[in-house]
Amino acid sequence: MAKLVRSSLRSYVEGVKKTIALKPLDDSEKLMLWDLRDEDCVNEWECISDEERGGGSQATFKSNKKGTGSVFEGVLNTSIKNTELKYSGYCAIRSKPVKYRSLDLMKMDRKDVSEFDAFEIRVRGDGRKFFANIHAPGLATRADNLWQYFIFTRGGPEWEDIILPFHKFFLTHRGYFQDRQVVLPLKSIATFGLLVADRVNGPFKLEIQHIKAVRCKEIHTEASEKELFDY
Amino acid sequence: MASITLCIRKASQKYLLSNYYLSSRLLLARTIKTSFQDCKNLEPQESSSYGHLLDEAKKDQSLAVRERFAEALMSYMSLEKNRSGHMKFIKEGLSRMDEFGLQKDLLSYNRLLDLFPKGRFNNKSFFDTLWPKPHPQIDLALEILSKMEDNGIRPDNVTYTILCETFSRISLPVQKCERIAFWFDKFEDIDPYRIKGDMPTDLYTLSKMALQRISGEDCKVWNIKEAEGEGDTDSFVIAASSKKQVTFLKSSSFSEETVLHVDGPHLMWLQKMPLFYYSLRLLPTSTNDSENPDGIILGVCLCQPPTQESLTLWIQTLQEEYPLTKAATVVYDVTVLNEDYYSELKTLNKSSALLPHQLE
Repeated sequence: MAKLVRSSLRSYVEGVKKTIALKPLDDSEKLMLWDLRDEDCVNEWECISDEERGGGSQATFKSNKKGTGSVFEGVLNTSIKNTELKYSGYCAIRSKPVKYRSLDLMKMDRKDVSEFDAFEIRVRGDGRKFFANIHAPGLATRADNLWQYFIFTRGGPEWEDIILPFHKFFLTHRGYFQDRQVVLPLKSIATFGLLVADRVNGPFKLEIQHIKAVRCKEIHTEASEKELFDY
Repeated sequence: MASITLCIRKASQKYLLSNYYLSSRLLLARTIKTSFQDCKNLEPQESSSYGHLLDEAKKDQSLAVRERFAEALMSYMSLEKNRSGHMKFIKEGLSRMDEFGLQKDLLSYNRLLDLFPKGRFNNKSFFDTLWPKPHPQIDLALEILSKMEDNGIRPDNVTYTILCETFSRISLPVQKCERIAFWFDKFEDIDPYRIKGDMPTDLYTLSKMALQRISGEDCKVWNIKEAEGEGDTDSFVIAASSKKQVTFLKSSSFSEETVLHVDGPHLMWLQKMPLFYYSLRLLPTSTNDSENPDGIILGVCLCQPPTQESLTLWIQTLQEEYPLTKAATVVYDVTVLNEDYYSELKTLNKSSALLPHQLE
């Protein structure tokens, strides 16, 4: 009996020592999720447009040859050829979901960002509005629901860092905001994507350098609780 | 809790046993039969199409555009006192709003929604709220509301009361109206680069706005050549550098080996307006290669017409202001902007919607 008590006490003390020895969370620590200067990483992303549904938009996603980033560019066209469609005009890219087994959505390779507060993306846009899409299928929502937030690019020749706090992402279903908002599951993010669908006809261009998960103290001072639509 | 359940049970018994319920059931069966017959001999009849009302009102030059549309609605009301055929008329009106240029006018939407007869599609019982009757009018009202949503128009109190009177408070159109108002209010100020008020039409003020957006509010702007002429015949050169870039230009020394690189034209969008800018950058040498592989940007210029002469004007004024830069060699890597392509780009996003001051 005495032996048992002693051993359990020892393990308890060791545990306490371990927790004391843990470093406090460092604000400067960042997690590189996708480094898009690397050409191999760019090839893991996929690019789609409304061409496959009878639209007129075209898009490509390649690394630029200078090695400073990758370019998502193309032409957006909102005209409707197919009479079944009501709206048209979108181009999107996303990181390819890596599946353990085919036809099994729940067993995708997930990213865990629960220790961080926000995404930081370094982009050079052309003044258009873009969307950040997060796909995290789980039991709480339907399989094709996304969490989305806006990206407003400045335009011009300089790179800019845009911070997208996790708590600001909204649950949407095919572009429509949902009444019942669900918190983004930070431990199981399947894909990250970018979308352009701002109904402006013409060429667009967005250069991306990297996508990181960062810590941000300023975010916590804002009202982090999301207002819900109730009627 | 018990009292509430009792109430509900009483109400349900009352309605199940009442004549109203039975008669409505019989009516439903009868209407289904008749609607099948209607489908068989469905032919376009002259009396039921109201396109001519809109055509006549459109020609009336004495009225403002908004009032012309209202006149067509009024003439329909006087023609059909019982509002028979209101579905066809509202559909016609909705599809031809773009023709009038009224797709951004809230008042016209309210007038159109007001055409639905009131009191016919209300919820009359407790069950109507649980299982709403499938009126096609509800779908049409939703279509009108979604068109408002697409054009960025927030419904106001008048829209809300009209919908409440026609479809009652707990119904799909009122829900949709509430949803639009909720999300529009939430995202009203979300765009940091939003242009307040109307978009200016002349190129000079637009390019000034673009420069301030690129290099920040506190940037230094050079009006090298003031605007001459108006509209398409504009000719001007304006350039800007941000505070950081100005201090760099003042302090650092240049030699013959350093290369100032002028490149362009690059495309940029201000709302739906395409603009082309040229940028000046210091190309990286072997020493500062790792930090800035793209080079250091020193300024941005917008000019009309986009020729090399106006760009050399810009570089000359920079060299006069900061004489240290004279030592550096300037390289122009500029492709000629195709004028036809630019004018085609401008026309791509032209909408027929009238501005608020044009309506009255």
